[in-house]
Amino acid sequence: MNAPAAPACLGLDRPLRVAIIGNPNTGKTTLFNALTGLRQRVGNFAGVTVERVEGAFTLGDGRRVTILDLPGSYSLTAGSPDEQIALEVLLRRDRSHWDPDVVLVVVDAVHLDRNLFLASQVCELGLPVVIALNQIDVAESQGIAIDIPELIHELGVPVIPTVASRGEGLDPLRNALFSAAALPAPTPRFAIDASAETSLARHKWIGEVVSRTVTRRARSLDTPSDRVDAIALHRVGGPLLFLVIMALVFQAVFSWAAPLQDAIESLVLAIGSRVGDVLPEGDLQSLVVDGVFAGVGSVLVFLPQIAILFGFIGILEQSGYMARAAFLMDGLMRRVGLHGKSFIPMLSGYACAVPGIMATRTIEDPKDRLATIMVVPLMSCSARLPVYTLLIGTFIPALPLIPGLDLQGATMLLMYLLGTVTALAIAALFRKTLLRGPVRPMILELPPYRWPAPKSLMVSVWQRCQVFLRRAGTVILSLSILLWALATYPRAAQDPTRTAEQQQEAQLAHSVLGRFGQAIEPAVAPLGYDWKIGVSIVASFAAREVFVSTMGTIYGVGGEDDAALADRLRAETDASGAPVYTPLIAVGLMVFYVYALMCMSTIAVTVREAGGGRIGWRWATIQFVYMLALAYGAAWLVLVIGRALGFS
Amino acid sequence: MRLDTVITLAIVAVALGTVIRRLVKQMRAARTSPAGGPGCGNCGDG
Repeated sequence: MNAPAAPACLGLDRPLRVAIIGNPNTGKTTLFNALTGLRQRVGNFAGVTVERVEGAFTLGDGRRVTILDLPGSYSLTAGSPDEQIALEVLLRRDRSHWDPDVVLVVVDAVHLDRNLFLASQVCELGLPVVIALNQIDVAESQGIAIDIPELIHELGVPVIPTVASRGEGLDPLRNALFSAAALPAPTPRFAIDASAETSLARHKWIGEVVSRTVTRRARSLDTPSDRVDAIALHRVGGPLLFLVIMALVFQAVFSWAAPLQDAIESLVLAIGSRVGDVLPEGDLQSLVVDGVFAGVGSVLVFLPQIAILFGFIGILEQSGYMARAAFLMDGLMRRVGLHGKSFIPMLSGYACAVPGIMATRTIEDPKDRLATIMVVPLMSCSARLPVYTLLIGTFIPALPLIPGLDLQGATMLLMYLLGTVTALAIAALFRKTLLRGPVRPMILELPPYRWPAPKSLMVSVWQRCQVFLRRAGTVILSLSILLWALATYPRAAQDPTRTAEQQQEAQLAHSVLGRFGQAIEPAVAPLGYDWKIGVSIVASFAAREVFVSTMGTIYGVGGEDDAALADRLRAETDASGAPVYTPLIAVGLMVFYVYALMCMSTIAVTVREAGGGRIGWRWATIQFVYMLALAYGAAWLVLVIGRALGFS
Repeated sequence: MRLDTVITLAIVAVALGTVIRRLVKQMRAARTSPAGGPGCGNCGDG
C-alpha cells in the first residue's frame, strides 16, 4: 500500500520532505528523535551529528512526513565537510536528489540573536520555513521572555515554541510543517554571501529584531552553571577534577562490574557444561563447548563493564561536562598544533574510532582534520576494554592506593591516558612534518549544565549493550568458530602413552593454528610472548575483542576442565615450568593493544575520510604502519625496562 | 563421514562465509559515498 501523500494542494504524490537545520547544540537531534521516535545519538555539546540521518512520522489522519536531520551549522557560508552536507541538501544540490519541501530551523531560545543569523539565511533560500523555538523552558528559567507573535511578524514564518527533551510543542509543530508547505516562501532580505557588508547588515537587522521581541529580566550573572564552572574550568582544579572523575569511572568499571561479571561467567560455564553433556562426544560437541562457549562466552562476560563505562560517558556527555573537558584541553591541543575542535572526535574515539574519525568532519582545515584522523585510533575504544579487563583482572592485584582507587582502576586509567598522551604527541609530530600548517583558534560554546535524562541515558546504554551483543553474536561468533576449526584440524594421532592434557597440547601443536603460531613465534618472542599469544594477536586484527575469544578457544581446546579463562591463564606454564603470563607480560600486552591498529573498520573509514582512492589508502597505510611500529616498540620497551627493574 | 562432522563442517563454512562477507562489505565502504559508516558494529553505524 502506498503511503498517504502530502496535502493535495502541494501536488505531491509522496510524503512531505522536511530538512532540520540549526546551530550546533540547539537540540535538533532531540527534536528529530521526538518527532520520529528514532534513537539517534544526542549529546550536550556541538558536533554530535556529522552526517544526514533520515526518519519519518505519520500524523493521526495518515499524512506522512520524511524528515532529514542535518549536521549543525552556524551559517550557510561555512566550509567544514559536515556543514557542506547540510548546504547541499538545502540548495537542492544533494546527489540523492532529496529536495526538501519545508525547512525546519531549530533555534535555541536562550541565544536567539546568534541563532537568527542562520535562520535568516535559510529564510532566503526560496523554501517554506518553520522555526522551532527550542529550549523555551530554559530561556524562561533564565528570565528571557520572547514575544512570539512579534517574532512571527518580523521573520514572516511560523514560529513554534518547543521543549524537545520533554516532547512539548510537537503537535503544533507537526501541523505547522504541513501548513507551511502550502505557503509561499518568505521574502529575501539579504543576499547569501560571505561578504562583510552583508554580514554586518544582517547582524544589524537581527539586533533590531531581538530588541523588539526579547525582554530579559535582570538576573544574577552567577548562575549555577557559572558556579560549577568556577571549579570545573579552574586552571589547576579543572584538570585535577577531570582526572579524579576519570579515575572514579575506571575504578567503578572494575568494582561495580565484578559481581555481575562473576554471575555471567558462572552462567556461561554452566550452560556450556550442560550443552556439552547433552551432545554426543565428537566434533560438534567440541565446536559448541570449546569454540562457541569458550570463545564467545569469554567476551560476553565483559557486558557489565561496557554498560558501566557507557553509563558514565552518557552522564558526562549529557550533563555538559564533556564540552568543559574540550575547553580544558584546548590549550594543550593548540600547543601540539591541533585545532580545539579535534578533542570531540578524540573523545568519540573512546567509544569507537569509526564515529570518532567521522566526527572530524566538523574541522574545516584539511590538515587539521587529517592530523586528527591519524591519531583518533590511539584513543582506547570499547573493543579494547575486554582485553584490558581480562589482563588487569587476572594479573594486576587490587591493592588499595588512595580511598576509592586501587591498582586495577589506576592501571586502567593509565592505559587510557597513555593512548591520549601519545595521540597528542603523534599529532604534534604530524603537524610539524607531513601536515605542517598554522594553528587556528577555536570558539567553543559551553552549554549550561543539565541533569541527564534517565530514559535517554538508559536507552543509550542499552544501545551500546545491544551493539556489543550483536558483535559477539556475529563477528566474534564467526571468528571463534573458524579459530576452533583451525585449532582442531588436522587431527593429531592418538598416543596412549600421553596423558589427556599432553594429548590436547599435541593436538593444538599439530593443528593449522598451532603450526601457524609456531611459524610466527620468532616475531613475538622478543616481546616475551609464546605462540598462543602471537596467534591471538594476529586473529584480533579482525576485531580487538577476538584476542579474548581466541584465548578462550585455544585454552578451551587445549584445556582439560571447565575453569574460567583467567584461571587458565594464571596456571599456564612453559616447557621449563615457568609461568607464561606474568604481570609484566600482561602490562606489555596491554601497551601493545593501546597502540596497535587492529580494526578493519577503522582502516576502511580512514581510507574514505582521508580522501578515498590512492590518497586515502596512502594515509591508512601510514596510520597502520606507524601504530604497529609503536605497539611493537613500546611492548618491547616495557619488557626490557621491566626486567631491568627486576620484574619477571 | 559421521553426521556430526558434516554438521560441524557446515557450521564452519557458514562462519567463513560471514567473515568474508563482512570483509568485502568493509572494503566496499572504503570506496563508496561519504554517507554511512563502514559498519564496524562497535559504533552502531552498521
